Amino acid sequence: MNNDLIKGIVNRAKEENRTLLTEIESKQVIAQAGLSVVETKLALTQQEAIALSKNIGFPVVMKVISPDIVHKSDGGGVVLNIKNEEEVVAAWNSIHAAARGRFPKANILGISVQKMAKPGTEVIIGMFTDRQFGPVLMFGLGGVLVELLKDVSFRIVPLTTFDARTMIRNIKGYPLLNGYRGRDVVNTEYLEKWLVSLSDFVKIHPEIKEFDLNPIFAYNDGAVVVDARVIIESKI
Amino acid sequence: MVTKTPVSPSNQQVMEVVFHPKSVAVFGASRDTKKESSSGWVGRLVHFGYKGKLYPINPGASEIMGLKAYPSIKAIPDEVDYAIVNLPREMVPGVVQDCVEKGVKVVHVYSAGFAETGTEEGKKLQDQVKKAITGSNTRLIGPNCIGVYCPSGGLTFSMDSSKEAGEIAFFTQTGTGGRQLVSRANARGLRFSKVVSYGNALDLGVEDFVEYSATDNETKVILLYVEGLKDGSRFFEAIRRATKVKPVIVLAAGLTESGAGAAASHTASLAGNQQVWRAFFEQTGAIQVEDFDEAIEQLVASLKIPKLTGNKVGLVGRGGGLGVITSDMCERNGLKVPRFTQEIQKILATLTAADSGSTITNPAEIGFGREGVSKTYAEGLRVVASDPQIDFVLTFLYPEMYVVEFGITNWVDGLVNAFLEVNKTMPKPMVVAFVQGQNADVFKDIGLAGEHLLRGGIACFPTIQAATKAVAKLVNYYRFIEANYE
Repeated sequence: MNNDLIKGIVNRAKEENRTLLTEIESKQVIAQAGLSVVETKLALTQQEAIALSKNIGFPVVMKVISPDIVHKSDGGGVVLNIKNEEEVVAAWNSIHAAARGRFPKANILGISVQKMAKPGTEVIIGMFTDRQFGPVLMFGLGGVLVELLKDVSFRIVPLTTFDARTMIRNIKGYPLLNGYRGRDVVNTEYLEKWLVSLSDFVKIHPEIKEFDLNPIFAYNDGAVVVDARVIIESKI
Repeated sequence: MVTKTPVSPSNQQVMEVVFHPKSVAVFGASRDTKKESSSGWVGRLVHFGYKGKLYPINPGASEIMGLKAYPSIKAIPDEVDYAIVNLPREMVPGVVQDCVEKGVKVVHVYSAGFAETGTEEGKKLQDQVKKAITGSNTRLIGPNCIGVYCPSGGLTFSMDSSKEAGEIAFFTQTGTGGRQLVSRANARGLRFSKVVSYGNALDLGVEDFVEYSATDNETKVILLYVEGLKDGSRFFEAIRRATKVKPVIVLAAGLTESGAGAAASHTASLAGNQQVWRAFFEQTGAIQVEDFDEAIEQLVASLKIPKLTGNKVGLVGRGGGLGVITSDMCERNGLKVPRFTQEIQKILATLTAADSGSTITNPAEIGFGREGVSKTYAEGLRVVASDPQIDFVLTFLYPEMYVVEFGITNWVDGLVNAFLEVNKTMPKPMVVAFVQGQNADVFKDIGLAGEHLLRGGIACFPTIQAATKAVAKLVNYYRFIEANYE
């Protein structure tokens, strides 16, 4: 675990008076807990976006990066399945136009480029800090409908493997992870390990106050964090 | 000058003083013997039979209830383990300071009017008390609490608590509710090992008491009433360790403190107070109860029912409708009521009147008739218990019918003795539930029978609902332990 990297990110955010880490920062932090994340890089110019895309390999996803835009997908700030150089240029222009139209005052830092992950079952793992019990982890079906469906379960840190297993099985949508109607069976043991790792991780990083890893694409042989949002303590 | 660095006593050592102090000083003992004897702390301890040294403190008295009185704690020539402070709140910081200087190990502040009032003055006084003990080896219970009840140590907070020791540890923030629970549980035939009402928990709190009682051999079941926690993480870990070895029942009241507050993430916005407490119970295996009534029933179940291996119940009792209702209640609470095997049904058929149309599939309708718990009835209980599918037997009785219809009186002794006899040869745990009627005498007798059964080691409940709910929660506890640790 690279604690200096985390410290650097947290300190920079504090200097800039931010509690919300960018997607790129959030993923770097979460990767330190041992989770696989879809690596995301920042392009400051159109040329950089093209170079990064070629380097990562098509298809890619591009997203607006701005501390002022929280829900990126709401305003046309995300373009999926970009297959070639021309589409990178088109996406670059459309994201900028959408952001300017919808959030005229937003400070646009650039556009992130990441590999388009193989679709999987979308789940969420989250954390918040309870006033009485400290860090608490959440698991549920992920995606944009999380707050609508509220199909989630919670466990107080530290989690045992038993806790992780029961918290996954507790959600109503568990059959969706377990091969419901011919769907792919998700490797829930893999997710259990992630939950236990995250429990250990947040225990030694009290500066992390909340996070959403949403969505995580879960597969029959693993999982990958596709998007992440980490919130840090405002004053330590 | 050579200063010796005092080694802080371990939690275990502190608790030994809390429950078994060798000497107790009482601040605020009255010169009026009649008053002190009937409602004072010296009176309470004397009548309860406290065996250690007792030092009343009152600057205006030379003797209280025949005991030599002292003008101050420092005037006591010997060591003092434990002090009870019953003085106007303004005097409390000063005497606690004196106790620290005297080297008193544990101070119980009975006086109220501190942080619980929410006033600046109250908070200031509490801070002063805290300051007095900070850095010392003197530990404090309270303020604003009735303190300790421990029959084996001769301590009590109430004149009417049983002197007999039992196996229940009970720690409570509320004093009034705590005393009420002890007295009601006593009446049911339950006995306690260690009880503490700890009030504002300025120093010693529920976390300390739970950690101690998890390994305390005198305690088989722990009951907690909590409103707020000083250290949620430590509480969580302490309960998790305790449930591994004994059932822990928790009444968590007024849980509005939890939650995330303002939410910047999906997670925080989805996290309510209820969800976190649900996680707490799911992770620790602690048994959640809603009120003191349920707490008492859960104590009965947890203490008197031997370890349950499953949730399948064999029902024995008269009355078709009652049987159906009981089955429904069992199922609703998560118990299973399987049909008895053909073989068992065959034997049961020989025990019931051939022409009565009695059910023998589960429930088994076997006579609890004019003759009370008859030989046939006793045999029926054993037969039901011998069904390999069955994990335990629940029998329900409606005594009012026998009293009113058959004119049977003095049924209590016969029934109790018969059950105690049956229980000796029951191959599986047996639970007894009564059905209440409206006859006041029968109600009283049911209470009496229940107490005797309980004292004889049989879990007995005043209603079928109470029985099924408490037993189902106990089954879940043992399942949790098995799934998690075995």
